[in-house]
Amino acid sequence: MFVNGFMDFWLMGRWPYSSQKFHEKILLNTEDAVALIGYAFTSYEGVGTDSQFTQGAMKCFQSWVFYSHRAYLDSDITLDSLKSLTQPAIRFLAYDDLYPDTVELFTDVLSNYSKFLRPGDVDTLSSVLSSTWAQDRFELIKSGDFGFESVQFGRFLLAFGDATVQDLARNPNDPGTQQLIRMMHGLLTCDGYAVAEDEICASALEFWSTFVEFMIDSLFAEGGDKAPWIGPARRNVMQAIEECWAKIKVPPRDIGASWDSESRVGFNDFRKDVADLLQAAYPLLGIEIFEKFINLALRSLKTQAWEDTEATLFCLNALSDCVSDDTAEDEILGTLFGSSMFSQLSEAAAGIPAKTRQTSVNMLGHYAPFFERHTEYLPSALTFLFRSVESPALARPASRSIFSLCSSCRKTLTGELGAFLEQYSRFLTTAKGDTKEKVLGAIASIIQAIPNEDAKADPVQRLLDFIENDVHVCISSLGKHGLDVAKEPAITALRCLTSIGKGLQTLDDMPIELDSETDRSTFWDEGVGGSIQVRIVKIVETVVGALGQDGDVIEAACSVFRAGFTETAPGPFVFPPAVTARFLLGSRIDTPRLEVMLTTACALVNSHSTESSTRIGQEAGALLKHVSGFIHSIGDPAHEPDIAQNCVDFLARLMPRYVDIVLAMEPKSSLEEIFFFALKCLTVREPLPKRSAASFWSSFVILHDFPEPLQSTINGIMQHLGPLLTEALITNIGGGSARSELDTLADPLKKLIFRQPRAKTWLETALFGENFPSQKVNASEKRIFLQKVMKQVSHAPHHVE
Amino acid sequence: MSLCQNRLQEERKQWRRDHPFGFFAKPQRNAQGVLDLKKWECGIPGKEKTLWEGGLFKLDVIFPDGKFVPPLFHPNVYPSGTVCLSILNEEEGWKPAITIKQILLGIQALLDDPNPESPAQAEAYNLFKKDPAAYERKVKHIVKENPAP
Repeated sequence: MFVNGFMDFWLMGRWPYSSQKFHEKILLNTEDAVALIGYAFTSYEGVGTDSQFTQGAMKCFQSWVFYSHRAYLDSDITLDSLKSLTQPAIRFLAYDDLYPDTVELFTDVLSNYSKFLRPGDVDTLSSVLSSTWAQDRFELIKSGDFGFESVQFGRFLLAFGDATVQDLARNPNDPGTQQLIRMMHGLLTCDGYAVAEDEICASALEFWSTFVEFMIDSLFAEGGDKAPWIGPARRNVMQAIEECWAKIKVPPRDIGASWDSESRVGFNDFRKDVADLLQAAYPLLGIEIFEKFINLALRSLKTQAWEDTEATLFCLNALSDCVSDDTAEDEILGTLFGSSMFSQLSEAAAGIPAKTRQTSVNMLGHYAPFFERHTEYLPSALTFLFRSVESPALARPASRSIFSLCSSCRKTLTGELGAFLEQYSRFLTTAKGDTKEKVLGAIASIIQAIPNEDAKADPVQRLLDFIENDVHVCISSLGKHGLDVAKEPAITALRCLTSIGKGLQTLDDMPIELDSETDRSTFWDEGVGGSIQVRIVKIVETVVGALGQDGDVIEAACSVFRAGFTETAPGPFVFPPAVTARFLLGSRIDTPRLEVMLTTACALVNSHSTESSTRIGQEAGALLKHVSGFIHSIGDPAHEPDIAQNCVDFLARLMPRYVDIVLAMEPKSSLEEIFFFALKCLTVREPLPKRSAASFWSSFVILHDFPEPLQSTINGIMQHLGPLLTEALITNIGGGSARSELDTLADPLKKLIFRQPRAKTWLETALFGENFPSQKVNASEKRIFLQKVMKQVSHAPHHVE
Repeated sequence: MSLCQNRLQEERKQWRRDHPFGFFAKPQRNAQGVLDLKKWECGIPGKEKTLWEGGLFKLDVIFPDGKFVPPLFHPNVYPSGTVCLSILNEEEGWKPAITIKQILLGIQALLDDPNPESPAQAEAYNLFKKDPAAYERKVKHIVKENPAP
């Protein structure tokens, strides 16, 4: 059909005319199309007669309706005469031959262009949906018929619900509404597992999410909470949630195992969407829904209905971020955590599905703040978790929950340390690397909460015993099995050590003692404390000594040192800077993953870069000399762009606090070499060294107000290198670098103009010099550029005279 | 409702109707439970049959910028977590009509197919370039740390 093809052609975007012109032309043809389609519609004589002509007309009508949507969006043109065909078209829903095209049309219109429907059309659709025809179709899908036409009907019903959601919520007493709402509930309770079998529940869930969103919006509108419809609507949401709860129950193992990956992911996605709905609905339902789930959990535990228990705990996990820390909620939660739940779920012989245990283990992590307030429930929860961690299927989630609980409740758990260390040694036989890391970190966080530094020594030593033992095993396996086998446990040992270091970090929300300088503990500097630090470093050095030819080992070793960098108070991992520097100075140009050693050096300097931190001039000097050795070996940054970048990064970190160390460097040829190297980095092709060099020069060109003769030396360097720096920057900006690099490169240029009085001359030379990269920029354009950038000088706050 | 809010409301609807498996994307809620449509909390699963399979990586989208939380080890993710994706770049490919689905699918594709022309962090970029075996090990470790449920 020409009328149809014509439309489709345009909709595909191939029509050569501008849309406005096109829409106006089409408008002239609408009447004819309507007459033609109308004729085809009226010629249909019902079941048993030839429907092909009418089917074609329906497809054509569909194209016209889609087109009218486009015309409305583009040019605000409405093709009103088309609307006269809506009522006859609705009639065709009831005819099997015409149903598929008709239902598709109305589902699309309801979903995307409901403005096309007149109030009368909506009423007609509503009465169609309350007819016996609709009831029959509804029963089919409800009983688990997810054939194409059946699902089409479900989507149509939901599209209608979605388009009229406000009326459905606001008119709870209208029989038509009640009927539709019943069907909306029904679509959440069709037979079959969500997504894997039931193809409509996910869409039904979307409807209920929209329903909830509309309610929340109304509730927050002025006086919304007093509207009489809120009560019934709220009850409907409650019911929908109960229906969802039944849908998220996990299948028995054999059924779940028979699903393909798409079904599994789809089912999990559905569960996640249910969690979303619960969170969205919590402001509406409040404590009532929470209490309902707690009671349901207690009942399911009592009857040992493990799938029900799992679904309920899953819902409670979803609500963990919503519930407040009020007494009322805590009391309700206490009835569950104070019940026999943990002992019941620990029973190995009870045939409890792994998923149920896993969800309960996750629950303890989700509700960690509750245990902080109610420490009386902690022992049974942690016993349960330590028991779970021994089971391979639960080890990972259990170790995460242990970490989360111990870290949150560290202060109240210090008395349990002995028991936990005992538990850890039992769990060691089955433990895998990442679970060990978490549990050690958890125990370390409890040690951190011990108020006296000297009382921390003993438990820290116990943890180090474990690590040393692991290191010993891995070193002996190195001799027997070689690097490939020994490497994994070595990395694990170092990661565990880092995890202990992180566990021992002070919490961010702890008060900072401003006068801490006066009464800083010296425990970790000498004696037992000092020997612990020596022990930790020895572990790292032993591993690196034996397996240092592996990059992953080097990286893991660096992490141990970094664990103490952010600390403001002394601790077992807060080593003297000289110790860390000594380790870093052991690197060579051929050290694998040298970049990580260099970034660790950067981090060390960074943690001592503020005025309030200790100055580490000596270490900075030694590291600078070491880095300049690398720079000398590389020569051209293009040879080793990765190392070059890290070297320049290190130089940048020395600014401004350690500029004196840099400028005092001997021999002077090395000093010159590093500055020229930083300049060369601006001209390499690789973006990362360029970025680091830009950052170095940004920090260097603004250095001012230093005491003499330092400032004069800085100024002297700038006078000497300023023209070269400007040329390097202009070469980049004039076409030598990618668009995405310009922001980074503009920064040193801006600072140069603000700070350096001769910048204009340098810029002129660079712009009009021979090395300017592009022939496309003419002299007057260069002049305009120069004027524009120099305008910024007038805004400069300070100027070096 | 502002134009931007309308557009985002539509975006939310579209996502609900049709989103790729394993992804999630939801507007964040404020303290009262009301949605803030400009800030989305998203999750990107690693693609099947790639190094990243089995992982789920959290991304905050403040339209149209994406930021991994915590920052992800990947050559095209800045140390701050911001993603360097050409379709998010105004000069390169960003259009107002771009959808959250396209953004997230684009980032998922980027995970296993980093763009070496546009390095954002040295750590992942250098390892990717110099020591692919170590890069793979590291990615696998990260996947383990961020398992899909």
